[in-house]
Amino acid sequence: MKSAIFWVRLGGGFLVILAVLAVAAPLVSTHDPRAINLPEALLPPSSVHWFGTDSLGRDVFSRLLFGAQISLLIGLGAVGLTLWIGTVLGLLAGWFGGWIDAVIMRIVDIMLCFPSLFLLLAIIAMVGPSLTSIILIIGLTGWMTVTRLVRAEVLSLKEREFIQAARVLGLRAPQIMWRHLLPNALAPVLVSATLGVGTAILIESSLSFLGLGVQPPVPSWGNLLMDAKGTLGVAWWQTLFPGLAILLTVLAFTVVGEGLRDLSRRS
Amino acid sequence: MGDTLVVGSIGDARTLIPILASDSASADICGLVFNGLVKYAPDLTLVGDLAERWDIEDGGLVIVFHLRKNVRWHDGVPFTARDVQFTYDKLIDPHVPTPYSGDFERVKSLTVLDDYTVEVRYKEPFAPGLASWGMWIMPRHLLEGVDWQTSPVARQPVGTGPYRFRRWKTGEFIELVANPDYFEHRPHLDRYLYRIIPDQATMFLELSTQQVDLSGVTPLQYRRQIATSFFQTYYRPFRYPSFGYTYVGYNLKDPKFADKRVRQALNSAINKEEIIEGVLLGLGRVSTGPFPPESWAYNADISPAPYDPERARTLLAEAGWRDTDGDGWLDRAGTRFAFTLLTNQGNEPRQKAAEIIQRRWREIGIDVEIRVVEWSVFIAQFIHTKNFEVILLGWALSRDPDVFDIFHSSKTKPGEFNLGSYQNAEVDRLIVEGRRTFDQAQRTAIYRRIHALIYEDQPYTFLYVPDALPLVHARFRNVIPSVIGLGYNLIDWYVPLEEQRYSHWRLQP
Amino acid sequence: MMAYLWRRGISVLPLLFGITLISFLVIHLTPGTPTEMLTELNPKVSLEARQRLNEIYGLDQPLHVQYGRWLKRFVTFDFGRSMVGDQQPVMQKIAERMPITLTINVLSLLLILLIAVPIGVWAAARPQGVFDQATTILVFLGFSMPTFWLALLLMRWFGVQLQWLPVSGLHRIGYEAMGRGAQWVDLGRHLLLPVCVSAFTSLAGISRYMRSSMVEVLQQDYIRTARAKGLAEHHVLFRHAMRNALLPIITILGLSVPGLIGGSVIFETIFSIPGLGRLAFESAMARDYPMIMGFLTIGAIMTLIGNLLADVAYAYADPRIRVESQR
Repeated sequence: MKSAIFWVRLGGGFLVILAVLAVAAPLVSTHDPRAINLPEALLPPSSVHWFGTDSLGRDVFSRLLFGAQISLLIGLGAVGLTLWIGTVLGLLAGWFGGWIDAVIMRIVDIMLCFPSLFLLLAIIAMVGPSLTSIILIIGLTGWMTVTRLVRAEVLSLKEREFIQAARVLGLRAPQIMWRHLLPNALAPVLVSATLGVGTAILIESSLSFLGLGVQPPVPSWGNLLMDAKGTLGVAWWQTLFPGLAILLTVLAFTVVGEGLRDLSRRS
Repeated sequence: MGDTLVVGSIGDARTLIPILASDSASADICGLVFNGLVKYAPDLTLVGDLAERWDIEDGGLVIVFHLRKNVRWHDGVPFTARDVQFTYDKLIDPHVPTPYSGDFERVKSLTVLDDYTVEVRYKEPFAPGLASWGMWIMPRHLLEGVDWQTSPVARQPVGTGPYRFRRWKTGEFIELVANPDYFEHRPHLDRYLYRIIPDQATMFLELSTQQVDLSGVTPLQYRRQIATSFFQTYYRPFRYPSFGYTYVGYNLKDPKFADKRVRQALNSAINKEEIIEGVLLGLGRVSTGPFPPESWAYNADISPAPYDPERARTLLAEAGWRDTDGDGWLDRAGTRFAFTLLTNQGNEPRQKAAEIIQRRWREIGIDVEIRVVEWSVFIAQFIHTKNFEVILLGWALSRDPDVFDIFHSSKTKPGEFNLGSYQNAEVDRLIVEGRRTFDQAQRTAIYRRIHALIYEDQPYTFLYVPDALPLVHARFRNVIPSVIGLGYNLIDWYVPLEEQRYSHWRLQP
Repeated sequence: MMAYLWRRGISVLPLLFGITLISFLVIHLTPGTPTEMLTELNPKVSLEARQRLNEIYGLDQPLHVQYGRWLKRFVTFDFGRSMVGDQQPVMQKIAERMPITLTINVLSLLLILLIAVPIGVWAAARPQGVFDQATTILVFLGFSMPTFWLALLLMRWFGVQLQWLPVSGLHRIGYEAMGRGAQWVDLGRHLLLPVCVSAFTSLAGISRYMRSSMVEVLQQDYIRTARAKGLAEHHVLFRHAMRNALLPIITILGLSVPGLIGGSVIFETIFSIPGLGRLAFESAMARDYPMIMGFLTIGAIMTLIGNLLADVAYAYADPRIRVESQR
């Protein structure tokens, strides 16, 4: 019988190792991820190329490590954006109520009606497919949930005594928000954020499938998988390792997020 | 007699009104349902299709077509010269969104002399004009006076061709059946099924289960995946050069590329064999000019400059580009030699080629960045506005070597196709001359000279001509590859009775 | 209750107007026009021909005129004609592909419910138990896998290597010659992989929700009473707890209504299914304005209806609200 803490630790541990590897990629990788070496194309895993090579002779292991940088950056960046927008709007909507709340929630409703596909294409068309545009898109299409969560928390916290007390004491709104509301509203937001990173990584791989993700030669897990699609019957290592990487990472984020949710419920 | 050919296609057809069909899937289907007045024979000469013969008079100003008699539309109505007139009227009609009007606007008048004779008069001699009459002829009795948008005819074409339209399930397949009254002879294969399979990986899996009889494969699949006993038993691979080329285009208005030596240097710094090996796995060939190597217009005397980075550096130094500050990058008058290589998203071989080129150019000290842009944005924001430095693109060519639209200096307005703003008075003159000359020997000389001049000037660095790599199920006989492809003699393909796979269907009238 | 519904219904209209306006602006501001796509860098297509096309489609008019025209037609439920290819009416193109997308989504949803609900119930009965942990990992696995990766692997395995199932598409070649019954079986075989992949990757959501809802319900007093009364465990679980735990699920179902007509372009591309996802994506890439407006509007309407349904279901199911409105 394993408890929630165990899973959080396991998943978290994996993610920490991953983060370290990603940051240390230039030190840890065995080859230059962009080094094209045509005579060595499509070699199976060996002692030289731990995960084999791709169709241009580049080392899959090294590309995977640098791809981890990109994928994690996208995940954290996008979620950071959603947290930022969502928290601000949620606080405003919940605290002030009235027409501010109405306007913000209307905007949320409208945004929810849009299939992200079109927004995605519009932004990519304007900005070009790149790290920035992907972070923008995922961020701009995901803040609605956070807003709702934060707003709900603020609404319920507003009536609590310590907030009333703070008002009576004359604390101004921004201070109340910053020091009292935010820390308490954080718990469900954190859960949502953790799951959101996993989702962002999956979205990146979908975008790469459509050719709208991070463009080669910059390696991302999504476009590594896309490269692999063309060599499906020939180079199993090209498909397996990026696929596993995405799978395990998203799994880790999910496990950690759900574990945190369980923990926060208990307290 | 019998059996079905199942063809796999990545894209679905968009329209089956022939003069509106501009994408390859629509063109594939229209090519089987309709005929033009002329068509190309395997040796790239023009032979009659709906026209039995023709006379070129007045030094090329007039073409008189003598049409076949006893040709019927698929609904039984006889084909006459009035159908040709109707098709021409629609081609030049400003309300019809046809992409093919260009060639037909050179026509001064088209007169129906009698039921089977048509006289076409041009404003001035126009050599590509004859080939332009390969355009599919449409049935007047069904399409005249009818709103094409609401009429069912857009999706149920009636033509004169070897196959009759049966059914189109959007996004799934298009089904054609043999026309028993086809004027050449009834096709041996009863049915033609055009299956739409949008993903290349899925397509290969379908080949692996014999659910597709004919499909193109990627170089990798060709080299590595069809050597199995399954594929060797059931399929025959073909390989022939495709009709088009991939190139690097320079924006000649940009001062960096104005000097011919710079462009030649960039050419010498690219190892084309490496690209063909790496990207096409050897399934392509080097090109030196704007014509396919098998075309009569191609100048085989021009040998491609070998890969020579030293020569590149020397040429660049002559043009003023040296590494004066020792940082590894070339510079001139204080500016570093840096630019962006632009290409479109969705074309994997091009992107790979771009990466290989980037690496070689960086090795001689040029700071090259690659940018990949979505197709529609590419066209709108970069191509039409000439807002680019270097592009990597391809052209699919028509059979006639007229390159007016691409290399003539007048075609540089936004939206036109002299993308790099190339200007060479001699080439201009030759291009115009080539269009007006009907004498084959003279034309050949003219185009070969154009080829030589363009190679010297390097407005493009020609990269390669990729091979087409179709796989055909082994049971089909009479499949003979030629310069113009595989399907030109489709009506002669057949399958021996004992090998037929889909013969339990009965052909319905 | 009716008044509440009415008010909600009315408030939707300005929202709809706002959405269509924003959609229109966004797609017109996006670089690229349908005529450029139509002519696709074909040297045979002259500048004049392209300008001609622009006029034919009314694309040279100022934006507000174009929007006005669209709005006028929209009010009569006329979404105009697609600018791509054979220019079929937008509604017709959508209606053509709707059945298959709907079928796959509904089947997938049913499969999910069939699996997720029991999983959620059993897992909640013994939290942190072996079953709970195992199924949790399983559904998370489904959630974490890139769909196309899984799809291609399964297609290879079941289609090529084992040859148990067809690789892609909806019908086998020659299906018209088969009898009715055989045709249904054939369709079933073709849909098996897509529906399973679709369900597997979406299991996590509902099953976790079911589980947590169930856990909450099981902590209620009346459950303890039932157990104390000596009722059999499965009686307690299924007759009492599950019913109440299902309420939030109904809310979710309402919110997934818009998803029912949404297709995944990746999914449909891999499985060669002619669905709405591919159509939407291709329209967006080709900048087929009328088509895109059609999609966005229908999507918006479906979302709003879905929200409405969810609210209604929740209000109906929650006795407190019901009692209130009866007073």
